[in-house]
Amino acid sequence: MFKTERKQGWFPEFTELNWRFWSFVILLIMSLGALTWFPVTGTFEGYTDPFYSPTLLVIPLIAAFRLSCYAYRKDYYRHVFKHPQACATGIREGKNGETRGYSGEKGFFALNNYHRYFLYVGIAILPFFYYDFGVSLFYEPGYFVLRLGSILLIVNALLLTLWTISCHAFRHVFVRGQLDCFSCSLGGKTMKKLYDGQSFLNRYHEQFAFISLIIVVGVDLYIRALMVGLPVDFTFLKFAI
Amino acid sequence: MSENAARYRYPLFFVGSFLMLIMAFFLHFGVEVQELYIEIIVLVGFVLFVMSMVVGLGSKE
Repeated sequence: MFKTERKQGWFPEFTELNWRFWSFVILLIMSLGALTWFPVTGTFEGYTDPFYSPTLLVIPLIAAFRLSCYAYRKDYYRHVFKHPQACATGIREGKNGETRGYSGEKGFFALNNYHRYFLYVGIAILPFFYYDFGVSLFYEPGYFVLRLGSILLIVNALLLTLWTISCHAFRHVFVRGQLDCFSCSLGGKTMKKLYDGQSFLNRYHEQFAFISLIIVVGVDLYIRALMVGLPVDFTFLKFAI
Repeated sequence: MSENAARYRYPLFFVGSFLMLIMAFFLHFGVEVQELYIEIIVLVGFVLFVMSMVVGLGSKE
């Protein structure tokens, strides 16, 4: 049986001199401090901060959705923790010495295995981002206003949607990714088309994940910049309705 | 983006986020620095943060 030298579990990280890991811990502590000292103040001139309601209510779940995402997993295992140094799924042995292959991510105590449940929360809060976009368009009574901030809000909402629906768990749960045979099941052809469409988006899951992260942080900084009075807002369209 | 740049995605991410957070602390504790400098450093931090993601997306690693 092939075995790697890797140590199992998260605890060895604390005993090793790994500047990437420890610097990440420092960043986490500083971020929590910053979140406490600079709470999200909500709305400004019709713009709603993407970290504000309802995200604020479910922020631990949303954070867990990001952290357990396959794209982020790949990146933090390889580049932040450098652990494991190399991947190999060993052949698992059964009780009678027979070999068993990979049997899915079913471990109860692994947070990453709950990705599909965090996905439900992710889907539930998506409509609010479109609502916030709508609010930003009509915040001046009697007028329709299209500003730079509104465009950023809709780009943010679209990228979050693309990131959510291109998720690996989404494929498993909603487009019958769990099936072994499409032609053997009812409505198999239609489902296969949906599955292929989703799989096309899934190829770009990593891109959506990171670009949407940049946009979320960017929109938050942008709204904070507006709040302190930086002249970064531009109106493109304004007419009475 | 070259693979070489992608190797430094985490250091870029760290420095970028660190600069933004340090400036947040400067503001919170009222350290006497001109506001323009703080804005410039936050911008530099954000650019590094974005670069860290972009170089990572370009690589197959």
